[in-house]
Amino acid sequence: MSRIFISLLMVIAVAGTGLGETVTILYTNDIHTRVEQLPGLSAAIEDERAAASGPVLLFDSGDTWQDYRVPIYAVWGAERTVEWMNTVGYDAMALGNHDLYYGPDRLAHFVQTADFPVLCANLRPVAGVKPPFTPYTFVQAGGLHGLVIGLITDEDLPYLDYPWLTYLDPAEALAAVLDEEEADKADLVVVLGHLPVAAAKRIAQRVPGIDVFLTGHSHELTETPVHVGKTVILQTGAFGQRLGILTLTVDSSGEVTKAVNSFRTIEKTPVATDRGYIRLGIIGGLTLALLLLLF
Amino acid sequence: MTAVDLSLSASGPGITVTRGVTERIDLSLTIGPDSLCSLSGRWKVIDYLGVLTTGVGVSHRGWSIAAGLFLGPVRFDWGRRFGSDPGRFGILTFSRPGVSVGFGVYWNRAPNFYGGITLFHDMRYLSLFARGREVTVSIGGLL
Repeated sequence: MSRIFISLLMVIAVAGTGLGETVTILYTNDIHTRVEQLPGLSAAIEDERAAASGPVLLFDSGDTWQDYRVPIYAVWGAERTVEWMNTVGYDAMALGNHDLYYGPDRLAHFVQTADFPVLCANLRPVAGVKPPFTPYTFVQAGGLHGLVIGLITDEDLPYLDYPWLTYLDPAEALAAVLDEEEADKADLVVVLGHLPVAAAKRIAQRVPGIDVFLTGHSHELTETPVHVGKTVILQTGAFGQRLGILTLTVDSSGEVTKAVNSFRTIEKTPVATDRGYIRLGIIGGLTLALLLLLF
Repeated sequence: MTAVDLSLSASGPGITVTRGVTERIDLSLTIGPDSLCSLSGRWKVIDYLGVLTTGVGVSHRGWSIAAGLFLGPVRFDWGRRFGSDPGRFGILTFSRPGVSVGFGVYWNRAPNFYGGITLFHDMRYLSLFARGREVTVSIGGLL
């Protein structure tokens, strides 16, 4: 009888801490304000949430709000993308280099509009300056306590627009976060790294303790998940063409015992962009007028 | 924020103080060999696509208008100067964390090519640039 009681207590304890459960992580990267992909992504996220047997987290690895190479998306899509991310309930996103291209004021506006934290641990502001992002956040997935940390590449950073930010080595910045006392309490460590898979591999080799490393920037599709030690490294390609679905089984000691990844292809949905073209026309006209007038 | 730039070239020393007076407007005061004393203002026109700024400046030699377009790591500045020493300029600047490299041309009666490099350390920088045959060294940063 006492053995049954002890077993029952252990089951309750394990259930209480959330250990020994399945967590689904849905993830995107480099959406670049492709608004025609958003309805399809919404439907896929809804489906996966309904199908999941445990808690579901939703993350993005940056370059989500800007793409000046396709100006219509840059001038018209950013607000819609932030609103969409609020609607579908993202838990966190990493800052991407493109997300910085609007300048500090507009970036701060988007971050304020977002209902989720925007993460970057390796851009350090000088004393007295409060950046519109935070190095890391904690998320709760059932009983699991997850630590989510953001990193950014040094490629194509708009450095002159942000002279008050110093770029730190991503591995050193990550190690510093993991050394903090609060990090010890996390059952699951997720890095949202806006950097290529190869860079993530080098970081994971230097910094043990990462469970999931969701990458971006390089527009790679990790059809086969990349493993470095216990770290699984993934990326969905780009432009919202796929939703990543990672299902983790976490045992009673907090170790990930099983990681199953798949991708869901997202089809385009036509959207009206008329008002965007008006705004683009005004901006293009103004820029051209200044060029002709002054040059 | 306030930024200070101290420069030295064969023509003499110079100082520029730039102060952001609103989120969209910066004012700069320059005292130096080129302009004795000049005052300029820069206004951020749009920030939807990249960041487009335009500005006007006045000095004892005339007045100038300029524009700048930030497209991520690339910045393009161009403008015209009117008055006793009229001319045009266009400069492309590429940046990476800790360093920026710029090149372009100043054109009045003949083209003067411009090339420069700036090294950053936290809020401070050291800059070396050549305009025609004149080389200028400057240090500066945000206060």
